[in-house]
Amino acid sequence: MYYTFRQFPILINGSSILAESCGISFSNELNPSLTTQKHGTSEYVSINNIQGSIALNYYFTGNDPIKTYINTETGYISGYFGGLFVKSGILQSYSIKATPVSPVVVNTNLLFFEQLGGALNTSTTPSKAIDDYKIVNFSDCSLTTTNVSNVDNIENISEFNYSFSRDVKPVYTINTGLNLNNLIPDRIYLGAKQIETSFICDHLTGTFPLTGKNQIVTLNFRHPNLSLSDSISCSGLVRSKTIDFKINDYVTSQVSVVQSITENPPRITGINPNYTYPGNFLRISGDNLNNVTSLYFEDLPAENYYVLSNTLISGIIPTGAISGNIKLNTFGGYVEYPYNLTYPNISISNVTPISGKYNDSITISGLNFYKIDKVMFGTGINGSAGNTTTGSYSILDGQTIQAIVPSSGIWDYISVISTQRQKSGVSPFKFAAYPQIQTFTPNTGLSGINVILSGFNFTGVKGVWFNDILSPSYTVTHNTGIVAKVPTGNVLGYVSLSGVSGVRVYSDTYFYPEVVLTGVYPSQISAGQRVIISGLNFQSGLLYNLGDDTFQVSFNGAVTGMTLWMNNYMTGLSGYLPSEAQTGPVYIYKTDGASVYSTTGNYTKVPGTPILSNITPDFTYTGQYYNGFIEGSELFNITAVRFSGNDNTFTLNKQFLISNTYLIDDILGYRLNIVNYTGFTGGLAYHNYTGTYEVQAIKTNYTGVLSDIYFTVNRS
Amino acid sequence: MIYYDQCDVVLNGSGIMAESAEIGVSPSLAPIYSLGRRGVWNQTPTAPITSNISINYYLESFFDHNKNTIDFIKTGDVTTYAPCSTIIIGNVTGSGYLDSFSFTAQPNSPIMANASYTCFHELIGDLQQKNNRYGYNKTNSSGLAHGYTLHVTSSGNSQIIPTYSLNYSFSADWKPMYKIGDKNPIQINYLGANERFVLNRDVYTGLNLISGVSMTGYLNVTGDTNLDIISLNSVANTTNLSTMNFNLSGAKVSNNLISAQIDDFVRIQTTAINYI
Amino acid sequence: MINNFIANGYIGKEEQLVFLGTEQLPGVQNLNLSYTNNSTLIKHLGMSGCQYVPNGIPSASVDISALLISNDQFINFTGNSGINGFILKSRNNISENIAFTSGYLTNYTCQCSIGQIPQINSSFVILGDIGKIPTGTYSALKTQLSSAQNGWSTLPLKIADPGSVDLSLNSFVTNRVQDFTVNINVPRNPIYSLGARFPNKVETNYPIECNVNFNIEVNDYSFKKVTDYPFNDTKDNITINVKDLDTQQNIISYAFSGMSLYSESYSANIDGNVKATLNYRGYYGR
Repeated sequence: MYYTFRQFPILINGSSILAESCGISFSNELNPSLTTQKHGTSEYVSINNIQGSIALNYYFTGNDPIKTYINTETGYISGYFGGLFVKSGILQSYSIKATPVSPVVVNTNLLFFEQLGGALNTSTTPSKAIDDYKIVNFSDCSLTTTNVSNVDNIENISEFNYSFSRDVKPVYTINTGLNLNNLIPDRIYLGAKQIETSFICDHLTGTFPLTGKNQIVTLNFRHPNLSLSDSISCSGLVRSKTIDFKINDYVTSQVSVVQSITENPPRITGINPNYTYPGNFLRISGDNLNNVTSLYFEDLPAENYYVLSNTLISGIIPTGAISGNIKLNTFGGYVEYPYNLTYPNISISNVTPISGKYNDSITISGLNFYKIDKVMFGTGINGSAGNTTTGSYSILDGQTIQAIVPSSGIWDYISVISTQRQKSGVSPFKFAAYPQIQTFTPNTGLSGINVILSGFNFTGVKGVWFNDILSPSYTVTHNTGIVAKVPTGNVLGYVSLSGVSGVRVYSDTYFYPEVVLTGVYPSQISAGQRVIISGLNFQSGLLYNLGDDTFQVSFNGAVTGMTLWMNNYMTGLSGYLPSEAQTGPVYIYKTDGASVYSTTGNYTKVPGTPILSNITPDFTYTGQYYNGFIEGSELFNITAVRFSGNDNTFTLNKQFLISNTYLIDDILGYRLNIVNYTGFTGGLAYHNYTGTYEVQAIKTNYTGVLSDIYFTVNRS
Repeated sequence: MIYYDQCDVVLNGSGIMAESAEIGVSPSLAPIYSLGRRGVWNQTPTAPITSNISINYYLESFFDHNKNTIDFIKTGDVTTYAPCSTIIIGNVTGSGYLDSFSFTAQPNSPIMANASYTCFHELIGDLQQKNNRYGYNKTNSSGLAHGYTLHVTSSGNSQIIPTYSLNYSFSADWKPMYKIGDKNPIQINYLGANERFVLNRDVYTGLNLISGVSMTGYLNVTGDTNLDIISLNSVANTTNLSTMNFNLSGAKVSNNLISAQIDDFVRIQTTAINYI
Repeated sequence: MINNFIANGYIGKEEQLVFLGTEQLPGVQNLNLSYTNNSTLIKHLGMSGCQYVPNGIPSASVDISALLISNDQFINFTGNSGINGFILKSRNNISENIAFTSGYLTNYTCQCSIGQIPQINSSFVILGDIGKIPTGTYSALKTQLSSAQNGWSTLPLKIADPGSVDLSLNSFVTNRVQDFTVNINVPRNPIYSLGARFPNKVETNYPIECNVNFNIEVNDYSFKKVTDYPFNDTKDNITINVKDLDTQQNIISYAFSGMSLYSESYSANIDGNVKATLNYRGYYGR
């Protein structure tokens, strides 16, 4: 009948293992007994002894009964396989393949040269002990690579393979009593052995020296709930590198490290002294220490080490070390041992420069800057402990730190802290962290409004200034925000802050006071009359300067220049109403000359005295129709043009019709087209008198204004 | 107990009108047997934990986060940034990578979409009833996608050769990278995606399948090459229309199926795939 | 008061002019028009308010019963064509309408019995719009409404009479036919496409099933037996001509070939003569 796997427990050296599979194979070696005359035979001759192998896969649970045989060439492995047993198994190969988040499975192959003893026994009591085992998962393992030549920093290992193999041959001598009952060889020859590890990582450089590169790969097995700790290690040379590019997959690099020597695993039994300072020698006693390949004090390599004997080495503790575990590799494996340190005090001798703004780089000098995890700017403010993106620091060496001024610094001492060493040092003087204005809003407005400033290091701000005029009140809302009231006066200029240390920092841009127009005086004006515009913040930097300190103003589209009036107060503009201006709004121009301020004033244009400058043509003939035009200013609302004789004997009142009024240009003023209207023929009689007449404009309130232009009627 | 109307379904901070939603967490545990032991020794993780999220929801043409994700995959810098969606179902929150997105449009019916995501990190939050933090149906149904307003291709020409149903599906491949000594991926990257258009029409044209035929050429589209889903309010000719576009260009016909059955016209189902 | 009540209280039947296409239907006895829109409540997880969305085909139908007067306007719609229809209160005001577009006949029944004017019952499924439709909405409907406004059908008044019906079956010469019913079912299949509210095409799911049933008073009618089917069953060609009472001109003629007699019933009771019901059935393809 067939039996199931549940019925046959596996024990190695008497210990249960969580075996996944086990295959036992053995064969004899028989040759047919042939002669030159006989080409076939039923007789066979044994030419070698029985050789068996056991392929065993099992879950790694710590205290591995087979792993120790990697390092030793003595001793046999006994195996019990559901009633069958071997007494003298030899480890031929041992391998582990590690993939993320999966259980650790060991694949081994044992050889034996003896008769398989016993018989299958289904009544074997299944092992209960294995219930206490814990399977180690690779997600709980740590895999470290130590590059002895310190070239590559390999991390992010996604797959790891470890394999040990060696040549095993039985050696028989003649006449040693070997027979069917005694198959044991005289001795076992253990030949070349090799440990090879390979790992897949994201390290894609082509760095690969001809002579290889010393690399130590150590896989530490740990279990989260138990104090289970074991390791496998390979201290050897990098022998190959493979970089794979393929679609639908990551680009990976496979590095292979080979070690061709094994020995008994190292052991540390004691250290001396038990407490010492970094930088001192530490003597480490133990076993199998002849071939140390690396010595680390926690995370730092020993500054140097000396193998004094197979049982004693001496290493110099690195100055930056902290208490922890000695981590020692030999060709035989990996071992850890705890040690304790006494730390020297941290001191700060200088800070250069002694002031700076956010994101500036400063240098801190002193002693024992090791394992520093905080550089504090101000008491209680963790400025640049490396936990923010804006503030950071770097340890240049044990005496120098380069730190970036954080956004939260104030005028205070700088402290350098090592949490791990429980030491700290304070600068001998205060560092002035300059406040810094990044932006402020609004950037324009009247005195009395609140402006919000954004920036850094506001905690120690002692004054807010607008164009160097102190703000009457301000509030530091937080280290990056201030609300300040705009003071009265000329506040056109930079916004600035004064800090506790007496520093003064300025914004990059101006604050622009708002120009406000409050009135036009007089509100009823005629052309050419003086006009005053009242308002706030009338000053050169805010108004469009036409040159000669005249500033552009628009009276309902009629643009003119005005000068500052009582300019100490910045409250007035003085000028004259342009002749072409019409009743409407007044605008004040911004410095670009195109846009205007939001406030406007209003005025009413009242008629002024018409001024005539030209009439074209300036003659006609008796009895003729006349078409021509008059030029001048203040011609709006003219109702008629009159020609007055020298003797005042006649007039041509209303005999000319103003047909059109249009602007010639800004300088010449307005032109009136005057034509005979149809009723003019009736007035021809008047026209029949030759003579020279003064041209007059007829306008409400300004009837019969004289001018210096004349019109001639000639005899036709 | 949380009844369905008290269960928020939120995608990237916006409530979506889901008819159903699922989150499944799947630790990869395998039984460990041992030679010589009667029962199973234990179960142990053999692969990283993953969660799958699936949501069935009313597609709104005025805005859809999944469509945004698809557009980003098509045109954005997906090499350096793998777009991840935050999905909340009853306060249980996952960061998911869009595995698939699909919808089927039928005449006279609102368009329901299905989106599924894979989360490579653990879910957070416990089941809680809604707290009215998220709004739903912001356009008061006027922005819904509907068979009335889906046009193949540009809206003015979609009835020249009518389409009787349409299925759009998108799928993407993501690859997490794990390292020894960590349960969570150290990075997640986009590998590839494809989108598939399945159209049901009543005209058949021969295909030279060996060299491939572009979908836009095969459909003999008039107008642009977009498949437009206009918001439902377009039937009332109102303003504030929104349109969701799926571009057919680049897709090649992969299958043409003529099917005939009683009480129906002969349908030609054309499938085209666009690899992104 | 009473006059006002009457004037404001209802719309009288005289204000209901029924048109199919441009033709006014004479003799309409009964008309039912109804629709139900296709709104569905959106239910979703986390919902708080109620919103609706169109889902499915809106259901709309018109049922008309009319006396067979002058001609049968319904029988023509058993084919593939649809028809618009409307009801006007007055020819002079086509904006006051109840109308439908794309109506497709799904059932046609003509009943004729002793002592009654033959009557036609018809059912239409409406696949277009239905209700009070502004006259400018659909151009075809607008044209038809205008035609209705302009003219009146010139059909001569012809009234059918049961006494003027010709039946072609020989057995009915000696067996008195009391009534007959012609029933035609036309299954419709509207084909909808994406991007449109109305069907892209309306197909007829052929074959069309026709049933002709007779009730007769038995004299020498020879009954068949059920096992005559399938290889010895009765197949008859049936012709029915319904004529005008006065002129004996055909109002409508039905001609069914190869009709299969699939059901007979025989009944006798104390109240009258022995009666039989004969049911014929036939299918007609495109």
